[in-house]
Formats: sequence, structure tokens, C-alpha cells
Amino acid sequence: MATFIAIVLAAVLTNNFITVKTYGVCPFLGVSKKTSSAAGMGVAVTVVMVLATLVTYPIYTYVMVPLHFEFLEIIFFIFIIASLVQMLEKIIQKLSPSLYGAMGIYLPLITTNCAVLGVTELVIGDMTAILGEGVAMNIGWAVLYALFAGLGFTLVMIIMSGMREKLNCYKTPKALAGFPIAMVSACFICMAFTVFSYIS
Amino acid sequence: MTAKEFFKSTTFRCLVTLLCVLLVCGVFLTIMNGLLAISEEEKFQRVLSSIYGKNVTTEKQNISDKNTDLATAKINDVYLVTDDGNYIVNVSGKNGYGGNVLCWVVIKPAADKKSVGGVGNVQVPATGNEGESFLNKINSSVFKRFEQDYKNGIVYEYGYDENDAEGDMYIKTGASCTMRGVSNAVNGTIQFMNAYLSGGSIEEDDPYEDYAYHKLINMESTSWTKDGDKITYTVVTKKNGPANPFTFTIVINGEKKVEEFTVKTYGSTDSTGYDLTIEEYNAIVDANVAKFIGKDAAYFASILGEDETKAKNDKYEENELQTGATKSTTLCLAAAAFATSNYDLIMNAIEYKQKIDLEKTTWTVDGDKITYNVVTLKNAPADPFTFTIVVNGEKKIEEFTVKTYGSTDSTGYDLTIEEYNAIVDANVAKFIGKDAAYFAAIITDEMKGTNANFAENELQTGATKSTYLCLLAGAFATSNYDYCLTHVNGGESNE
Amino acid sequence: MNKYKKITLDGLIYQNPTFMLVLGTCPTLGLISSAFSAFGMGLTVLVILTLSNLIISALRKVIPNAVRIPCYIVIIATLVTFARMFLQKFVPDLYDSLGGFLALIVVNCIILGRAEAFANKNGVLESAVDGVANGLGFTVALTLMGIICEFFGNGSLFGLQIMEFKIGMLATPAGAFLVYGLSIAVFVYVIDAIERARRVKANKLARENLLKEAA
Repeated sequence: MATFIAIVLAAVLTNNFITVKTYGVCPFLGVSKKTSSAAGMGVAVTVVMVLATLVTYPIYTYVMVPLHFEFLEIIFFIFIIASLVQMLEKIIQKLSPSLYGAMGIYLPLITTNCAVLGVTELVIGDMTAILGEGVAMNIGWAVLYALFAGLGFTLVMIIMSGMREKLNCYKTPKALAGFPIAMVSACFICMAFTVFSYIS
Repeated sequence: MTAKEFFKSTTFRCLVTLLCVLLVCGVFLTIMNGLLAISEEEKFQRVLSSIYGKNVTTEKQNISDKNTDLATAKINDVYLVTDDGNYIVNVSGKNGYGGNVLCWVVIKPAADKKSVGGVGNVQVPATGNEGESFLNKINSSVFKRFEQDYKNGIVYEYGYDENDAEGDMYIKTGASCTMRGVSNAVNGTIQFMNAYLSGGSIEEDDPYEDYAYHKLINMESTSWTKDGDKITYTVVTKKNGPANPFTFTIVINGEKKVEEFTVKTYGSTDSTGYDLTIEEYNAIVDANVAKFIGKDAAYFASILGEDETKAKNDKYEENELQTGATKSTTLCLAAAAFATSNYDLIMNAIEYKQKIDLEKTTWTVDGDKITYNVVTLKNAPADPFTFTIVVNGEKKIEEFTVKTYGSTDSTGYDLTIEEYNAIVDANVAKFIGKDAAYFAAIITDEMKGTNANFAENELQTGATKSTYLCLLAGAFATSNYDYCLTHVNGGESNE
Repeated sequence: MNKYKKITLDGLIYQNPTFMLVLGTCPTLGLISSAFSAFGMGLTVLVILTLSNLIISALRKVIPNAVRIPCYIVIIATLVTFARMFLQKFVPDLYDSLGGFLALIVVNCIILGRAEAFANKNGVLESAVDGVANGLGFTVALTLMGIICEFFGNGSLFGLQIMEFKIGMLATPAGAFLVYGLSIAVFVYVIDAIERARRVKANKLARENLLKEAA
């Protein structure tokens, strides 16, 4: 239970992917102009992160490590993620056109999202800082971490989109318009999130 | 689609290209991996070299037969640098911020190679110290202090801000707890390496060495109260062979003889292989203990002999003690010997003296009243206080005035010295009419005041360190009443 | 020659991947708290980008259109894996300071972006120049911001302690966002101002010419 809470808190608040690790910033800046699209992107990323971890973690631990293929991890992982995204897109298109309309357009962007590759690389690395001493990493914790990291990502996406929707009502200087003002807003979110670093 | 068409189609071309690219890349990486792979040994060598600043060859030392778990640190590994004879020690310092702090410490042996001659580089790696959240606040130059400040017999106290008497060992880092762990690691390493180089083992400091016959006594659980010239002990023993710990209530009278000796908890077990039941063992113990009444330290010493942990069998008959429950009886004898032979020591012990300047503190006796002039030590940031305390015949405070204030305004809070003094005065006023038990309840730990107890006793907080000195002075004055009454010497030789 | 000058200027300034296109933001924000790691990341990307542009441009006629993206990804991933091995073996300090971002170069939009937008349409030499120019643009931008963040956030430059004064916030992701955002604003403003000045000058010249002709 303690490990469960530790993972949830670390993934969502203290080690948030965007505000602390700065993973997945491209979609964070690119697709956060409207709350609906930010939420769509967030959910899509979360789904892909969970599925990718579900596939890559066992492959790495039970196939690549015993066969001493660890050095090929990047190629394997990016390939798995790319095919996964492609398959997911096709499946959603076939099964639920309405869901595809809401989420489908974000899926192709996710292949080159560092948050997804980032989480698959993180869970095969050294996680003792988050899990605590003596807790062994396993597929369950890995997927749980991926799920909540994705939710943390979504949370910050939604906060950011809210800020940017408000920002649209005001006139910004020309040089600051667009990315610069978005980044300054992101700076405030990051600062607000540093408060959570006091959780231990 | 025929096979021929398939081989000419774009699909086939795509597949072949993709597979070729994959194959070429895979082969390339496999070759590169073979060429560039880093062995575990090389990785480790790299760590050592980064600590040492240059490439070195090392030899791992066998320390498996040594005591590596010290009070301050746990020694993990020791490596001898064959190039220059120095040692690199991997050590976990205890009491950091998030547990143990993992450190690398370079130790330079003295010229004769029999003891530690200096400390070299101290490094705290980020990996393995994830719990030390504020590690990055420590400026790396701070670690150089270990090397610069080394002198024979040094005990580093960087990071110990709690009872910092002089302040010169304390470095402001923003990560006191981590720094305390690092200090502990270096201290432990010096202690261990001194023992290791001289070929000896580490002697544990025995905090209770002043007490006679304490080897079978669990000193941490044993307590006593003084009442006039009588001492009532609650003695808890250790295990002794198959016998589990006993608890006794022992009363020693003014003649230093046993007045009462009762067994509160029996530790006899029936796992001895003899044919007796626990009840029968207990009966033997009771019969033996009954003979202890009226006996003094010499009696018990004669039975126990030189080795205090073993009773001599031939003495049993001589003293009409029943045999059969030897180990349990030994525990009873040890408890009795402890209680009788330490009578003087406990009767004359001055309590609550940690923060009291015993050299400057004086007292005078007038009838059953004692007037103290108590001088305290520093309790950083508070400077020494001087109090005049009068304790009456009921061992209660009759007067408590502050003669010299020690409050300083270097605490970082927003109060002036006058405001601090006002808080101290208000608190001290509540001490009138209080006895030793009142102070003991607030001062749960002699070295530290507990804030929670302040509110409970309606003491004002804000000048905690100063108030704590007042409390200790009060406790000193009341609890040592009996002692001071009989030692009217104006404080010349209080020890 | 003019063609190469244009490619170089585009990569360095007018189409600067960091400031103008805002690509590869994750490693930028993650690493500019230290000038050394920012510079190291820039150089690593420079090498990988140049090599990937070279290889992809050389293979552009061989790889069928339908599977080009998977092929690019495999090639880039191979280069990144190689870079990782190389750094771990020979520059372990840099390897440690880049951390997880080293593997994430695979999904750095700059590299795939240049492959898709330039290398698969142009010759080997042009692609190589484009790779170097873009890589340099990325490196310079990262190093500049790294210097700013490290100097004010940590009081040091490339790990060398210079002053005691520090604004800790600038060494955190929050500070990285702030510095990056403001740097873009300044960059865009300066480029805009130069462009405008040049346009004004050109207009003035044209008018004088017209007047001269009229006279």
C-alpha cells in the first residue's frame, strides 16, 4: 500500500512528467490552446503510455535481458511504440468512429512524444528513489507508474489549456505572442508544482 | 497474385528494404556493442578514479571478520590503493536526512601505517543517496573541510546544530541532517581504519562503565528512585543462558543492605533439559532470594567472584543457597550485587547536570532550605544564564529569579532581547511551588526540551532554548536537594 | 555557393530549430540548467543530425515511400544507440549529465523533421550542410540559454563557481521555461527589427533610384 501511494504521488505530483522531468513538452505547448483538445491529447498519451509499458517492460525483462540484447532497447522500444500507435489508430477507427474523431487526430503525433518513450525507459531503469528501498520493480508497478504519469501529464495539460484560454482574451506584445507567453505561463505552473516537492 | 508478381510488387520491395535496414543496423550495433561494451570492473574502476582524481589500481581488503557496524556508520568496503598506500572506504553514515548517507572516504595512513594519518577526498555520490533531498545544497568545497580540519583524534561534528556548544565545528550548508550523516560516515571510517590498521578490533564505549556489576543488567530498562537514605530499584536483567530476563524490585536501606527483594517477573524456562517445571524453578528462585534480605555488597561479591556473569557453584552450599536453577539464581545475585554496590554512586549522583556549569554553581544551606546560585552553560543560540533558586524543606521551589539573562537575538526570529527576557520571566514565575517531578515531566530527554510539553504546562514558547535552561536549572535544584543538603560545600567539589 | 549560404543561414537563424520552429523542447528545457550538459546535448544532436541527414539522403532513392518513416526511425535509433555507447565509453561525465534525454534524442522532432523536410528531397552534400547548420543552431541556442540559467541559477559557468549570488529558481524546470520563453521573444524581436530596418533601407534606395530616374 505504501508503495502504491508512493508511486501515485511521485508520478502525479512530485515527479510530474512536464513540470519536473520536462518530458512531453512538445504536445504540451502545441496542443494546449483549447481545453477539449488538451484533454483529448492527455487521454491519448495516457492510453499509449500504459499500453507501451505493458508491452515493452515484459519484452525487456523476459526476452532482451536474458538474451543480452539490452543495447537494442531504443530501436525495439520506438518500433513497438510506433506500431502500437498505428494499430490503436486502426482499431479505434474501426470500432468507434466518434472516439476516433475525438482522439484519433492526436495519435499520429504520439509516436514522437518523448513522454511515451520516456516512461518505457524509466521503468526499466533504477526506480528505487520512487519505490523505496527493498521493493522490487515488477510489471504491476511499472504499468501503475505509467498510468499515473499519464494522468499527471493530462492534469498539467488541462491546467495549461485553462490558462491559455484565458490568455486569449488579452492582447500580448507581438514578440511574446504564441510560444513565449505559453512558456512563461508554463513557468508559473512549474513553480506551483514545486510545492509538492515537500511531500516525502 | 502469382509469386512472380509478388516479388516484383512494391510491397515486397518495402519489406525487403525495411528488413535490410533493420538487419544492417542490428549488425552494426552488435559489433559496436562488442567493441564499446564496458565491463563491471571498468565501471567500478571509474568510480574509484573519480574519487581519487586519477587512474589508480586498487585491491579490495577483506573486512568480513571485522565489526563493520559501528554506532556512527556502517563500513561497506575498503580498498587499498596500491599506487600510494592510501585507502578508499565505502561507508554508510547513520542519521542522515533520509536514513543512511552513502559516502566514499579516502584515508591516508600515518607514516608507520599503524593508524590513520589524515582524511583525503570525501565524496557523496548522488546515486544511492536519493533520500537526501537537499544534498545538492551542500557546496562541494564543504567536503574539503574534512581534509583541512583533520587532526589526530578529531571527531567531526559538521551538521550537529542541536547541541552546538561553541559553533566552530558547524558549517551552514542548508542540509544539516545530510551533513551530520556525512560527518558520522567520516568519524566511523576513522574509527574503523584506526582499528583495522593497528590490527585490533573496535572497543565499544560502555556508557555504564561507572556502575559495578552491570554486565547482566539491562541498564536501559533499569530505574531507581531515592527516598531519604533508601533507594528503590526496579532492576531488569539480561538473558542468561536458558533463563529469560527477570525483573526485580529491590530496596536498599541506609546501611547499604538489602531491605526488600521481590521478583516481579520470572524468566525461568523449562528448556534446560532437566526434569523440573517452571513452577519448580520459580520456587527455587524464591527460596534463594529470601536469603538475600539483610545482606550487603560483600556477601554478593563473594558468591559471584571475579567473573560477575558466573556464580561459583561451591559457594552455594556454603551460603545455603539451593542449586538447580543456577542461571536464574545468578541473575538474582547479579541484580542484588548491582543494587548494593552502586548505592554510593547513585546516592551521590548529581542529576540534570548536562547544561549546568558545575564549576561556577554554588549553594548554601540554611535549616532545611537550600539557596542555589546556578550558572548554566550555553544552549545555542542562548548564552549562559545565572539564577538564584531557593528550595524549601518540601523540596519545592520557593524562589526562582534570573540574575543574568542569556537571550540573544541571533535566532532569526523577530523578537528583541527584551521580548525574549519577558517570555523567560513569565515562564519562570510559574516554577514557584513546583517539585522535581514537575520538571522531570517537561524535560523528557535531558538533552532536548519538548515543545509539546510547553503548552501542556502553560509555558510560553518563543524563547525555547532559554526556557529550557530555566527548566534544567529548576530540575537540578529540586532533584539534587538531598545530595546538596548533605554536601554543604558551596559547590567547591561537587563531583 | 549561394545555395549553401542560404541553407546555413536558414538553419542558424531564419529557421533556427530552437527559437523559430520551437522543436526539440524537451531536452532543451531539461538540460539548460547546466551549460555543460546543454552544450553536450547540442553537440550530440549536431553529430546525429548530420549523420542521419547524410545516410537518409544517400538512401532516399532506395527506400520506398510507404516505409520511409519506419526506416528513418530505425536509422536514427541506431545512431542514438551508437552515440549512447560512445559517450558511455569515452565521455562518461557527459553521459551521466544527459541522463534519460540521451535516449530521447530518437524522438527529437528536429532530427525526424529535417529527414522528412530536407534530406529526402536533396543531395548528400546539401543535406550534410543542412544537418550541420541546424545542429549548430540548436547547439548555440542551448548553450546560450544554458549559460544564462547556470550563471544566474547556480552562480557558475560550465561548473566553475563564479559568484555566491544565485536565483535557485532559474536552475529548475520553471526557470528553464521562463528563460526559454523570454529568449524566443528577444530572438524574434531582434530578427524582426533587423528585417524591418533592411526593408526600410531597400525602400529608401528604390525611392532614391526612382527620383534619380525622374530627374
